Amino acid sequence: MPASVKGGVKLRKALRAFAPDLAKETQKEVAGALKPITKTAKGYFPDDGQVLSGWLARENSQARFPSYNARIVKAGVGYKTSPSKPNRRGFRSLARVFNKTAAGAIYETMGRKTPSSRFVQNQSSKYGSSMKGAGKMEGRALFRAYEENNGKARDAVLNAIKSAADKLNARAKV
Amino acid sequence: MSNIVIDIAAEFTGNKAFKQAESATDKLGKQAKKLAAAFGLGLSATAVLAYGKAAVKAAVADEKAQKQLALALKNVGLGRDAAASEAYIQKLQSEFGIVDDLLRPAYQTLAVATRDSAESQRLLNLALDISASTGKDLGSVTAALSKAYLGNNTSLSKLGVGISKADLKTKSFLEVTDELAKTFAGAATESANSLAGQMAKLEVASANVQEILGKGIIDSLIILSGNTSVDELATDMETAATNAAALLATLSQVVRTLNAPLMAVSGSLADFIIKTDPFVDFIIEGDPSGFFKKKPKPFTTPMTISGQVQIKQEKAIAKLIEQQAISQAKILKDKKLQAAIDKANLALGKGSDVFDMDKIQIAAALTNQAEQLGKATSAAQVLQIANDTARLNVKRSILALEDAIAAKDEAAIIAATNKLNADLKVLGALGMQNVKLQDIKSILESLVPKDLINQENLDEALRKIKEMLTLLSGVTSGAPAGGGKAYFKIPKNNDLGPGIPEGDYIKPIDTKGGSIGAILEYADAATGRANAFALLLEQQNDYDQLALDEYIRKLGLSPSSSKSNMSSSVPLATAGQIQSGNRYAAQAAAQYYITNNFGVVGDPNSAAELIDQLLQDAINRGSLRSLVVSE
Repeated sequence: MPASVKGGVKLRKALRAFAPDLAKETQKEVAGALKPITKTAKGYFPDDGQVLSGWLARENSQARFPSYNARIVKAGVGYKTSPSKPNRRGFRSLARVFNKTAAGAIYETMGRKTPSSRFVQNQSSKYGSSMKGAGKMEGRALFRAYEENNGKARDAVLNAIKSAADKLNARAKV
Repeated sequence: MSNIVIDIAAEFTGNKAFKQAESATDKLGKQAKKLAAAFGLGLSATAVLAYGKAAVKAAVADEKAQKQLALALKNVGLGRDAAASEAYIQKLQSEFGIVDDLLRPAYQTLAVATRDSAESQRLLNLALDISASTGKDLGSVTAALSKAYLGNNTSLSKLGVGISKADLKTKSFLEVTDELAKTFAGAATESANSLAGQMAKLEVASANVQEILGKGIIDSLIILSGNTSVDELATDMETAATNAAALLATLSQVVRTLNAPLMAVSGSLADFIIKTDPFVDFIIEGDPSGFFKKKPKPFTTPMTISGQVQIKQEKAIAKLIEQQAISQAKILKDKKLQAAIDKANLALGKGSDVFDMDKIQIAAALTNQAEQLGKATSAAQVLQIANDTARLNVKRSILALEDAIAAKDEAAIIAATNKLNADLKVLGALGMQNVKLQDIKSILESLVPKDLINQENLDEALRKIKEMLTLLSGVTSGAPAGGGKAYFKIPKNNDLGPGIPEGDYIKPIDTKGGSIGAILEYADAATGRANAFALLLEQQNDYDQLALDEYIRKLGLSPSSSKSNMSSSVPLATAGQIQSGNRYAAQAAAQYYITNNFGVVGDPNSAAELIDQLLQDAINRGSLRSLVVSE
C-alpha cells in the first residue's frame, strides 16, 4: 500500500518552476532511496544457466510463452520518480519501482496460486529462491527486495518530499 | 499484466474522466428537463409518446402477420378460408388468452402440413390443450403434430404426452390425436379460466388495444398529413423529425445563451448574500453571530504554491515598474534632445536665410532698382523702376509666404498673405495704368533711404522749378506782362484721354488658394502690360511736345522746351516688343536725349545760371549723377 501524499504533483511543478536546483536535488534524493531496491532485486534473478532450459530463447521456436533472458529481465527492473498517469481509482504515483518484463514478472510471481505446478517445482529445484511479502505484494525479486528494505525507501522518499517542501517554503518567505 | 509496479508514494487526484462524464450527464439531464419544461412536456408525455410508438409498431406487426398467414393459406389452396381462419384465430385469442402472434404461426404450420382448414383447426385446438397441459410452447407442439400428420411420429413421442412407441407405430394419426384429445381435453379452457389465464386474457386484450390504437394512429396520421399511403407518411414523418431536431437544437442554444448571464448574475448575487449575511444579522438582531467579536484567525497555512505565484507576480510587477521608469527617463531624454535639435534647426533656418539665393537676388535687385531710380531721367524709367520694384516685392512676399507655410506658423502665414495681397494690389494698380506718381510714391520711397533725402532742398528746388516754368510760360505764351491767359498750357495726365481702353486689363487673380506659379505669371503679365503702356504714354507725351513746338513756331516763337532733335524718325517700340514685355528693348528703341533750349527772351542768362545752379546742387546731393547739356 503506497503512502498517500497530498500536493506532491504541485510541489514538483513548483520546484521545477521556482527552484530547479532543489527539484534536481529532490529527484536525486528520491532516486537514491529507490536504487537499493532495484539493485537488490536484480540480484535475485537467476542467470540464464539457472533457469529451465526450455524457458530460454531457442532458435526457430514459435513458442508464445515468454522466454527468459537474464540480461533483459534485469534491465527491465528500475525506478521512476516522475508522476504517472492517474490509475482507474484516480491515484498518481510519485515514486515507484518496477519489473516490467514478462519473464521477470513470471519469475517474480510463479507459484503464488499453484505452488505445486510442474514448472514451479522444476524451476525451484534448479534455482532455489524464496518468496517474500504478502498477498499481491509477494514475490521473489522486486517484492522480496522491497520487503527486505523494511520501508526505508518509503521513509526516505517521504522525507525527501517533505524536506523539499520545507526548503521551498523557507525560500519563499520574504 | 506483466508489469509489476510498487508505488512508494502516490497522490489522489480524482478521476477526471468520471467527474467530467458525471457533470456532463447532470447538465444534459438538467438541460433536457428545462427544455421539456419549456415545451410544457413532462415525463408522462414521454411515456404516452412511447406507448404510441409501441402501438404503431404492434399494429404494423399484426398487419404483417395477417398478410403472411393469408399468403401461406393462398399458397396451399386455402385462400378462400383466409378470412374464416383469421376469425378463428381471433376467437381463440379471446377465448384462451393466447395472442394471435403465437396462434398464426401455429395455424400456418398446421395448414401447410394438412392443407385442410378443418383439420388445421382441430389440430390447433389439440395443440392448445397439449401446450396448456404440458407447459410446452405452442410452436413446438404444433410442429410435432404437423410432423406426425406427415408420418413422422418421433417428434410426437418426444413431447412426452403419454403415447408409447408401439401405439405410435400401430395406430393411425387420427387415432393418436383422438387419444390425445381425450387425454388433454379441457386443458386449454381450464388454463384460460385460471388466474394466469385471466391475466393472459387481459394481456391479449391490452395487446389488441395497442394494435387497434396503433392502427388508429396510423390512419389518423395519414388523414392529418393528407397522404394516401404509409410510405408517404413515413417520408413526411422523417422530414418533420429532422426539422424538429433542428428546432430543438436551436432552442437548446437559445436556452443555454439565456442561462449563462442569469447564472452569472445569480452566482454574484449568492456571493453577495453570503458575504453580507453577517452584517444583515448584525443589523437585524444586533450581531448575534458575534461577527465583530470574533478575533481574526492567525495565518497558519504554510507558504503554498499560490504564495509563490503571488511573489512571482509581485516581482514581475516591480520589474515592469522599473522598466517603465527607465522608459520614462529615456522619453524625457529624447524630448530634451529633440528640443535641442529644434533650436539648432531654428538657428540653421536663420542662417539659411542669410544664404538663401532667392532672397539675396531679390535684395540685390531691389538695391539695383534703387540705383536705377537715382539714374532715372524720365517718367517712363521711373515707372519702369516702380514696376520692377513692385514685382520684386511680390516675389519677396511669395517667398516669405512659402517660408511661413513651411514653418506652419499661422500668424506668419496670415501676415505674409496680407503683405502679398498689398503688394499684388500695388502691382495691380500699376497694371491698371492710372499713371500717377502718387500711386507709386510709396514704392519709390521704400527704395531710397529717407535719411539721404533732404526734403527741404527738394521742395525748394521744385518750388523754384515751378517759378521758372511759370516765368517761361509767361515768356513763351506771349501773354501780357501784367498777366493774362497763356496761349497754351502744359498738358496734364488727365488730358491724355482715357488711356486704357475699357475692359482692356488683366484681371487680378485671387491669392487665396492660388498657386505661387499663377501669382508669378500674373505679376509678370501685369508688369509687362504696365511697361508697354508706360512706353506708349511716354511716346504720346513726346509727340504732343513736338506738336506744341510746331504750334509755337507757327506763332513765330522759338519753342521753350522741346525735343528739337527728336524727329518723327525716332524709332518707336514695336507692337511685338510691347506684347512680349521686353521693356529694355523698348526703352532702347525709344531712347532720346532731352535738350533744354530756352529762347532768347527776357533774361536768359539769369535763367541759365539758375538752372545750372539747380542741377549742380542736384549733382552735389547725389540724386543726379550726370547731365548733358547742349546749347
